[in-house]
Amino acid sequence: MKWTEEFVKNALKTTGDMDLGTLQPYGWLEFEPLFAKEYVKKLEILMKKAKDKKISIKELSRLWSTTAGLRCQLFFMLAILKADRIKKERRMNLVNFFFSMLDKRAVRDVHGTVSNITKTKKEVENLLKKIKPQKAEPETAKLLGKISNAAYNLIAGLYMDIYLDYAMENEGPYDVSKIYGPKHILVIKKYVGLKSDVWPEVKIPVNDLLMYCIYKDMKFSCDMASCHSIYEGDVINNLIAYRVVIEGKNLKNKEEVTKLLDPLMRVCVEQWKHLKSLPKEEQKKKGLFIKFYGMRKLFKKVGMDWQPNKEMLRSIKRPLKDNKFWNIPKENKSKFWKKIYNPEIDFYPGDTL
Amino acid sequence: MKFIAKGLGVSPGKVKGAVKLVKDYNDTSRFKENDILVTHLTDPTMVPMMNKAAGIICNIGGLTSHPSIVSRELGIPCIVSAKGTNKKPITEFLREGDVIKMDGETGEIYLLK
Repeated sequence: MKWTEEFVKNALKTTGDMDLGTLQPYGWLEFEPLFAKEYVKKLEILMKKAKDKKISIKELSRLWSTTAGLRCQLFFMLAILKADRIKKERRMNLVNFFFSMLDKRAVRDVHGTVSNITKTKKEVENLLKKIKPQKAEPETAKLLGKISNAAYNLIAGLYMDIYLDYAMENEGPYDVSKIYGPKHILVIKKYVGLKSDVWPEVKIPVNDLLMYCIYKDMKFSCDMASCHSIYEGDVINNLIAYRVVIEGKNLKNKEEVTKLLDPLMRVCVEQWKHLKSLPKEEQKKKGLFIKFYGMRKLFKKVGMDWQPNKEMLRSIKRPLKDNKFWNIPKENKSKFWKKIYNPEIDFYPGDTL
Repeated sequence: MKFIAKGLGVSPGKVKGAVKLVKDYNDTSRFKENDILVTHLTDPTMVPMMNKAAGIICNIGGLTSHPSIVSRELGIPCIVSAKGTNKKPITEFLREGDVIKMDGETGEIYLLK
């Protein structure tokens, strides 16, 4: 099977379980076609500059904050390219560029079918030596769950539902039975880039928060969106060790971890209220900045301004796209989306099956 | 114990507790530790309540919806797309203060008192 077919199949499996109508404040299919033309142009310049400067794909792949964010952006791009009726050759150049970054970054399960693996066994061993996980009690597991809840929801407010993979991902499961004994796994919960330049008016207590969780007798799986985690087993009683790392520094004890919770909960509530209180046009503008902010390190690396240009800001003043634009049929919806998302097929919004 | 409602179980666990019907963050102050959060669909302003809840039940949602993801991280049971035996959405079916038992695996809800 070609990577494009496998990727689309997996992406549609992921979105199949989602109610896209609940995405706040809007979904990618409504929003992203508004700036498709300029976005594609900007990415083509990025690609050319990276080639001219001989920056390797591996190096570029490391400039994404999360692997889940890269996967998600590749998925969204498939729709954008069709929304603007970009010709096949240009489409394939772009998607192959993104997929090659993903291929370099993911150690296995590139498509994120059941896991999100970005570290080798050796890297995991070295990591554990560095962070030295401490013993966990059920109360610690409950506390980590609450912090995770607050951080995840804060990111929903900062990056909106559609771009939250830029700043959060669950990584794993990594088999750590060599160190901890049989049936032990490591799951890493990453919340990064919280102090976003898109929201200079918001005071965020932490920028990068990582929670390393070692579980016994647990199974962890996810789909392309790594926050769609499924645990088989008891997340409270089966957590045997953990380490919380803030801005690259290990927190020493549970008391230090506890101090994180209230400020995170407060700002997460305030940020969501702030986002929802913005006029629709301002929400669109913020969304556009978030879209490019998530890729800022790539643009900076090749010497480009990461921020959206004036044309993009003008283009998002148009109304959000609805079902009429996509011409979604009442029947055979999955066949329709399979063709829309497949970059190898010349099938566009408005076309009939 | 009487079977009264069912939905999609998306985070396992069995708990008993008092129903707290939540509309928005204005309900935060009256939400007590181990109440069962019953709402249309959770949003980030409900985080302080979710962090106190024994379980979460929503009118809508699926396996990867907001309350489902959050509950699995918290290790508490969650039922989404829940309806009473009369097919009414759960927020219109349950009453404030009802003491219920919920099963986040089967999606079943029982009235205790």
